[in-house]
Amino acid sequence: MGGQILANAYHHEYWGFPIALYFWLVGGSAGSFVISSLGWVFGVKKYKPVAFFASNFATGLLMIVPILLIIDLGKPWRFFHLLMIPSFSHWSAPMVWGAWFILTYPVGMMIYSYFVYQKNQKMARIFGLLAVVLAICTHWYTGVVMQLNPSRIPNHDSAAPILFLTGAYVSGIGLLVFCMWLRNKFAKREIVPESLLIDMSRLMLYGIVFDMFLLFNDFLQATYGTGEDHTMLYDVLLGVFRWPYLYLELVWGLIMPLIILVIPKFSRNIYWVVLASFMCATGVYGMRIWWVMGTTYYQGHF
Amino acid sequence: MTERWKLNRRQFLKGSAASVAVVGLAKNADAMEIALGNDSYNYIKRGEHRRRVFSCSPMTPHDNPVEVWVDPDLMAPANPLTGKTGDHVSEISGVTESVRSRGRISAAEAAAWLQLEDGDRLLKPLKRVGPRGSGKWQEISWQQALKEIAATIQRSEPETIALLHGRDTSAGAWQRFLHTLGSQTVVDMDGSGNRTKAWHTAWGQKASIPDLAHTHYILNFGTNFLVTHPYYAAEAMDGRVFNRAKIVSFDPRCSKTAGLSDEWVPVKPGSDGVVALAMVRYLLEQGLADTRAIKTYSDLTVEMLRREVTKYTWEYAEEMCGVPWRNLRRIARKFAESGRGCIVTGAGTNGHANGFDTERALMLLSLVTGNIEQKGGNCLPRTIELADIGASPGLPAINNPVQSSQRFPIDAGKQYKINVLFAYNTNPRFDAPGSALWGKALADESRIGLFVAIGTFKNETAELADIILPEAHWLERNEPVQSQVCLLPWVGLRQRTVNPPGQVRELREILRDIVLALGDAEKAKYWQFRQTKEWLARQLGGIPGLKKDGGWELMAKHSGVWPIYGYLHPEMRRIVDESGEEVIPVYGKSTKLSFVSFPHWKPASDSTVSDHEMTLLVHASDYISDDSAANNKVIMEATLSNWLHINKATAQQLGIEDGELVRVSSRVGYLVTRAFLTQTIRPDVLAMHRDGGHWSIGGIANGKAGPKHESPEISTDQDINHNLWWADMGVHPMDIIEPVFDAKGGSGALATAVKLGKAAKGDEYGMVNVDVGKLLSIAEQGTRRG
Amino acid sequence: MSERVYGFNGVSPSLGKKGRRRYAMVVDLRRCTGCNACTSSCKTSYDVPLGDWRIWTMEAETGEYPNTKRQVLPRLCNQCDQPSCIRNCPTKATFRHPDGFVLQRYNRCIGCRTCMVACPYNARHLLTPHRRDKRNPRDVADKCDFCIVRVTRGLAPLCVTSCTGGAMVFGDRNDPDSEISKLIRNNKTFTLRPEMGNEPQVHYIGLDGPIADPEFAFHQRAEQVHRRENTFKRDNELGGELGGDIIDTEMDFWGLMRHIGRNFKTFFSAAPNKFFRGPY
Ligand SMILES: Nc1nc2c(c(=O)[nH]1)N[C@H]1C(S)=C(S)[C@@H](COP(=O)(O)OP(=O)(O)OC[C@H]3O[C@@H](n4cnc5c(=O)[nH]c(N)nc54)[C@H](O)[C@@H]3O)O[C@H]1N2
Ligand SMILES: Nc1nc2c(c(=O)[nH]1)N[C@H]1C(S)=C(S)[C@@H](COP(=O)(O)OP(=O)(O)OC[C@H]3O[C@@H](n4cnc5c(=O)[nH]c(N)nc54)[C@H](O)[C@@H]3O)O[C@H]1N2
Ligand code: SF4
Ligand code: SF4
Ligand code: SF4
Ligand code: SF4
Ligand SMILES: [Mo]
Repeated sequence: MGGQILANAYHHEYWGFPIALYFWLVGGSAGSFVISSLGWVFGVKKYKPVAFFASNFATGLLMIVPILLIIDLGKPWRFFHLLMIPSFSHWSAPMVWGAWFILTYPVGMMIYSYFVYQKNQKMARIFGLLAVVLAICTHWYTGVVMQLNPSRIPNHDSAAPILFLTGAYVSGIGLLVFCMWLRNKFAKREIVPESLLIDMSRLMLYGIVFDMFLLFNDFLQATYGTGEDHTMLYDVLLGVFRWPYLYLELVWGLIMPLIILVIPKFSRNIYWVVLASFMCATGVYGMRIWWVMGTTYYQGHF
Repeated sequence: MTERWKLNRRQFLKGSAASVAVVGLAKNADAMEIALGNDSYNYIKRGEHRRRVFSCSPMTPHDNPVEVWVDPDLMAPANPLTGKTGDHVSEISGVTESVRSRGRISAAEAAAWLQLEDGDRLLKPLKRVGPRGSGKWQEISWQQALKEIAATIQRSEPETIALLHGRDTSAGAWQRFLHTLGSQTVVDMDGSGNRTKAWHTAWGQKASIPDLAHTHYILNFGTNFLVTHPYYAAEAMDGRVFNRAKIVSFDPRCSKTAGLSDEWVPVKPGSDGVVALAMVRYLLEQGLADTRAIKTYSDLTVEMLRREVTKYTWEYAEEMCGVPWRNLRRIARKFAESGRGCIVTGAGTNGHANGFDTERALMLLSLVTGNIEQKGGNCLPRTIELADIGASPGLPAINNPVQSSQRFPIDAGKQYKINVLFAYNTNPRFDAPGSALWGKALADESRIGLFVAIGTFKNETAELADIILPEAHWLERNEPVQSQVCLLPWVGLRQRTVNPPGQVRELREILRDIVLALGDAEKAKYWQFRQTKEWLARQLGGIPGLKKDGGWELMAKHSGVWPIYGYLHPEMRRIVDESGEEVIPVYGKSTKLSFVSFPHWKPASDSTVSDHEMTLLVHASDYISDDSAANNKVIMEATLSNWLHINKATAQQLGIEDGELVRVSSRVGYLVTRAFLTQTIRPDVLAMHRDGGHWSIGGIANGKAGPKHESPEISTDQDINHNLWWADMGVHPMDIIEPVFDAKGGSGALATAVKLGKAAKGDEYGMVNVDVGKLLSIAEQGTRRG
Repeated sequence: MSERVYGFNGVSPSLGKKGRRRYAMVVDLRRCTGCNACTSSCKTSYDVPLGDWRIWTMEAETGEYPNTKRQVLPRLCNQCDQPSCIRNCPTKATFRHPDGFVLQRYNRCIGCRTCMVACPYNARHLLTPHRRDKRNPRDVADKCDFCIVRVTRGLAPLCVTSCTGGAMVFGDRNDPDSEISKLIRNNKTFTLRPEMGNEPQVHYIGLDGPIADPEFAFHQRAEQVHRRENTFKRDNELGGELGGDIIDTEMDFWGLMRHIGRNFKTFFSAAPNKFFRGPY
């Protein structure tokens, strides 16, 4: 039956670009830290040189996070309601878990950094492990915050946190590679050997492939879904969100880096690798936009 | 009646324990009674009680008794108009015991109290600076205003003093005022003159009451009553639930009412009369007509009737109204067989050049189906008369002939002088068909001498005045009220809930002060009161039954209305008596409908269109009750602006897309608006609502308020200054409506023939261009040649 | 109904619990005239800011000429039995009253808006900093509270009392003799989006057709409504502060950049105000 809506109330989308930025930063941080931990925690020796920088970099990214989050609150002075008064904290809400993760994760990283600086392998491994878990949790919970809203179709999906984490991993490495390369440029010497950066880009490649695999599944599910899923699919590929999603995330952030990284000629050239990393890192912001705003966009009309 | 009045709620509960359970007011441990009104709490101050003052809203077509909740909250922000803290109105709800209200209110009434502290209110008398209509005003003192008005009145012959009014809620004050001055020149701007005249000619009363709550079948011809008549809406919904009443709506567009009816019949504009007459013919033919009713209730015989309607065959009706006749036949049969059917009519039947006869043809249908003065049918009005104020001035002998809304803009001040003109509760510069004509007439200082507008807010008409006097809002006035369309009649009152701000005065005080300023003891003796309450006391206090029941003061405190017929049944939500039975009105008043001049049908000249034309209908908007509600933030937030509704198929033929800029041209001018494509309108009809494109009243109405404007008329409400979000203020449609009138009924048509096309180069949304010369020549002919 | 017990906020659903009430509402759509008296009385009495609604009506036209109909659907907080808003609120600012109300504690709320994302019915809003009455809370979440101030004093909600058509019925479902219990027993009633699992307690009689379908609401907006909605997003002060409002006609590349720019601008420029406005 045809027809049209003649009157309705209007609803704002609840979270905006700053929150998308926060998701992106947390992801970048988690991704970087995973790289940092490879050497000291998981014994992949060749990554030891980047560990200290990567860890501090991850901590730095995470320092911006509370600022964004607190400014975004309607009542910023009350941020401590999330933390300090136990009877105020509502443990069924993932945000409360997140508040503790966001608090403890940088602390864990700092301690880890300290032991890395001290070259204390044992303690670095212990705190590194702890911080890796926290890193994953910090990002995982952001996925869960989105996942547990029954009506937000694209996110209400148990694969959501995994998709989120994969994005984090990819963007984290990309960001790290890009920044370390920049650091080399500014220092005018190879603080981190270029070969290592190229190596890291291999890790990123696996992430990209896995990310695309997950997305493919997600889209596949959507094609078999309800009209709301179809709408979502249409909009990310052709409609309102084509810029953040199709162009920024898919084309710029995944497909083009993928092409660069699978063609041997490019994948061994540091400039191409850095470009691919940059694309990857920025492309994920497009995905975060979609996840934060896209998800509330449709339902804003009902 | 007396008995019921004396029962107050507690006695009622105590005295009839057996019936309590039936009524459902039982209190036991598990079930808490949820009352449907009679109290209110200040939620900011932890639920303190608010003070109740009974009043009666004039905002909907049928006055509605309300409870006004006043907070004596000293912590509340001061009234921004007066800087004073203390009493302010903070809620309005309906009176549960009133048969009219049953606790309910309309959207506009609920939000009416916002206007009390509206920064756009008139607070002091204003005098124009510069030429008329230039929009520059100077505040003057009451003394000066009264002096100037009195001086002009003294210089003027009585018949050159005139009043222009919309709905007169003054309970006789205006009449007394004019008679005091020796004039009886009143131009009534109410748009439903064809209908009231039709009723008056038919049965000697200016109203008709459809008994919607008790009917089985409702035929709605041309009214959007779910939107425009909340009282009818409530009654009809009860009919639907309790009697499974069917609602069939005849309307060229699928209005909200038609869309929520059981059936929508998309008739051509102006064709309702032929539908009615064809139905009458069919019912007579089939022996479905109630011949007894025809004999008892009219001056017709069945034979006469048969003769008169022979030409209204189904085929003819189908051709004229554009609806398959089988549908009409089915409806006619069902309606007649339902046993109890009633007919409602409205601006859609009234507002065409054949409106007078259309209305009468529909009365005939009601008669023929035996539904006159029957339960669930169409009934005569019932009223309780108010008492006299006191000795009144005699009826003046001389009279100015310019009294019709049709002739006024043509004749006023031309052959017949108008030295003083008062405008009250009307806005013809905005609402009258061919409103630009009014603009021209009123702005002409050589034709209209002193022009005095009285109101709570400015409006487009008052913008043309010489002096504007600030009047109290209805929540600040003392006035008696009579019921209009209740089968159980009542009287009520408006009383002052809070004091008016600044130098604002009540209408009765304004009129008194003008008379006193004349310094004529002979005239002043009719205006001897200090407080408006004194007159209220006389008008209500003199009602014999009310006096017996304890007097008006008790009523003012206890319920705001009299008589109390019973109590609101919490489940049925109707007024029930002590035994829990619904109070049923008395039917069967005797009347004789007169059809001496038979209501034959002729096409409406306003809606007769040539090949490339369509009929533009301008109808009431959804929540705006009178123009001043266009300055209410809550009402306007809910109101869509008046884009041109057009059938999708028609639009496709014309290549017009949804939301596209279009130009609507009548013979007198054009306007530019946007197209709203819909399936809910006849393909040969266009529609707009009439409340768009205001340029006066206040910041919300004229689009100057809100965060997007650094307007000097910044509002007193932070919510408006920061949160107002809509931008489209609509387009003023009334300038391009040809001023065509029904020669018999005297009221203007609310439709006009137009051509539609895409907007031309340079056209902008909201543009209106009208040729006043053409308006004038059409107005002079009084009708549109086919 | 559900046997699940709702944890973490200390109060389990009261439906069927002895000694407790379960307040609920029935909206009989056969009687609703779409008059918005409910909206207007609620908005004015509770000083609900422009651009926010505790209750509102949706309206649709359906069918093709000449077989068209109109539909009206008043919407308000469903006071769910399994409210996802509460589950996701990190501070217990929104909580369940033992008699079924889902309520707000303004002084706890941090304005994080998680509850709004969680509510499938769009029943919540963030209060703007600018209220008509300055004593009212600002910058915190709010929604319909089933008129608890009235109901606990034995008075029906304001929207119910003013309802033109008598379409809204309010009462205690735990009392089998209440009107609402009878109505639910004797009529086929529906709730909105039952698949969300929230167990709404606003029940509709005669809910039928596309108006209750979120997809319809999204895809089939009249162009005027669509434009109005975009104006709302573009011009509302709060739109900037909340930020994520996507104006669909402006989402090309530069449009996206403008969106981002505008959002960050208001995000930071509103910040000092939020920090230094004081507690209420
Ligand atoms: N919200 C609101 N309520 C109001 C008012 C208001 O301005 N706003 N004004 C008040 C006043 S003064 C009045 S007189 C009443 C008017 O109240 P109504 O009588 O309900 O008048 P309208 O809403 O103008 O609509 C009449 C309907 O008739 C249709 N129509 C037009 N031409 C024809 C025709 O030839 N035949 C048929 N069958 N239908 C036709 C129109 O499409 C429209 O839907 O409302 C009163 N109530
Ligand atoms: N095309 C088209 N034209 C129409 C109609 C239509 O349906 N279609 N309807 C026609 C009909 S039926 C009518 S009745 C007319 C209505 O047209 P008007 O007679 O102009 O009536 P309102 O729009 O109610 O405007 C009344 C004015 O009175 C002011 N006012 C409100 N309350 C008070 C008060 O207490 N005291 C004073 N002094 N002023 C007050 C308001 O601010 C407002 O400006 O329009 C007619 N014009
Ligand atoms: S409707 Fe929404 S806000 Fe209301 S209780 Fe349910 S989930 Fe919460
Ligand atoms: S906005 Fe307030 S009520 Fe909503 S989730 Fe956040 S703290 Fe809870
Ligand atoms: S129950 Fe009260 S708060 Fe809720 S919508 Fe109705 S009037 Fe508003
Ligand atoms: S007040 Fe009643 S009839 Fe009017 S829109 Fe609201 S629910 Fe419907
Ligand atoms: Mo009218």
